[in-house]
Amino acid sequence: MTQPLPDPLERLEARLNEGRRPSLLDLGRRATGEVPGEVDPLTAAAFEEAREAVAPLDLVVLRARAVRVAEAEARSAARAASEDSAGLPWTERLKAWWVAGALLPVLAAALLVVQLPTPGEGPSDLPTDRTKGRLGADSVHLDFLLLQDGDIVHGGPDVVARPGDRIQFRYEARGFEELVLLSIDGEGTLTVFWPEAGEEPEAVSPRGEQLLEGSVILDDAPGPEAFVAIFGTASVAEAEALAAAAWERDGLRGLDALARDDEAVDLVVVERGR
Amino acid sequence: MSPAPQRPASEPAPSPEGAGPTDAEIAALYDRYAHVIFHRARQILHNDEEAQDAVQETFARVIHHWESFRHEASPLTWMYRISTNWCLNQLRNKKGRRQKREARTHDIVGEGVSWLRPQLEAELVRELIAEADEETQRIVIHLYFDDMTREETAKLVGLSVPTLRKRLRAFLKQANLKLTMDRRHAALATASLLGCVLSSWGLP
Repeated sequence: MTQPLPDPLERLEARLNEGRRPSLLDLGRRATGEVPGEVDPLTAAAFEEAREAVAPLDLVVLRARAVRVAEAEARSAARAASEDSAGLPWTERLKAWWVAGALLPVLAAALLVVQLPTPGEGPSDLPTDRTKGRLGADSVHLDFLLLQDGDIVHGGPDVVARPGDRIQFRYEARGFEELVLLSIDGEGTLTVFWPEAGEEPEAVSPRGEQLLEGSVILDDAPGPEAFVAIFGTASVAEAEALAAAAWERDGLRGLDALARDDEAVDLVVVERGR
Repeated sequence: MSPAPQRPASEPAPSPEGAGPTDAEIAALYDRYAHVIFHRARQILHNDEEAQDAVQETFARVIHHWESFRHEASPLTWMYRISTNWCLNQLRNKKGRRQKREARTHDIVGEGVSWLRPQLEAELVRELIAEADEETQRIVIHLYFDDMTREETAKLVGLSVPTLRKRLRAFLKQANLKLTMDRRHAALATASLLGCVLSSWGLP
């Protein structure tokens, strides 16, 4: 015998459209003149209210966003293509190896001239004394306080946080008024913390050292967690793309390089113990 | 019932094949569709700012995919599909953010976190679909927010009606389980809170 559904779910099921009324899509098509038909007064009023509330068209902003969409789709397509090539038939893969083999001596010669640093695996490989950006001391700054076992400690390279610890951030925005603060954990999962929702960056105080309102509870994702503060950014999507690109380039080192080179970006890496 | 507005008589001259849309074409489309997309995104996301963003994203994609879009029989259906993807991403992001940042609004030296259960049906659906797979999320959005019939939804997501019914039943079963668990947790939390209060008063 099946258990009866709780009331809210029964109500949801009862609300399903059994074909006795037009769907919202139908009503929208009627209201926009795509198909003939009438719109009930309630929906018509809701559409009219939405017409008042929707942002006016800004062609410059919209066309710029379309360019970003095109770039993002091109990146995804390139990524998909590179993943697909891993699944090529063996004859094709052999050809690819042959080309790579032919290029090997050239690459080896290049390596003799330019000694590449070995990419590090963890934050302990990151330099602890970091000089940021072109302007050094004039660039933005991020650090954190940690609530651990009832004590508040100042975050730093020697501090190991545990899942459940709470982190509160301090920043200096150096004239910027917008902030997106996000994290990338050991598995590469990107999470935006500020702003809480939407695409508009968090409004922050441009001057002096400030405490960012609110805190983050550290979860038990594996590896260290890198918190990246991106100031002066136009949107959350832009900040996410910037951080994701740096991460894809070289993981934590990529993020560190971004923070060093960009005066509007800073990074703290929280080491996670058990 | 009120009569539906007619399609604008003075539509802008179409842009040549292979070229992107002209400013006039975008303006005409925006005037005709933006508010309908906004209204629907607002219902799904329950957030005006995010709904505005859904409109912008949808129109940005219209511009980018102009060549295929201009030949669509129903531009609104195409825009619905795009904005559904966007809204689902927003709901997923919110879920991810919620999981990691349950105490985001509280300072370190703050007070306890209040736990408010959503009471509204729409809020309940939003919360429940965040747990579902992508196909089920689409089904639920079309059924509950777009008020489509099972047949219309099945056609839009490319499933047979029996398969859709099966997915819906599975979703409701999961939702039922989650609600039951949440209620059990809430009852336990209340009991434990009551215990603390009673012991602080020196009562057993």
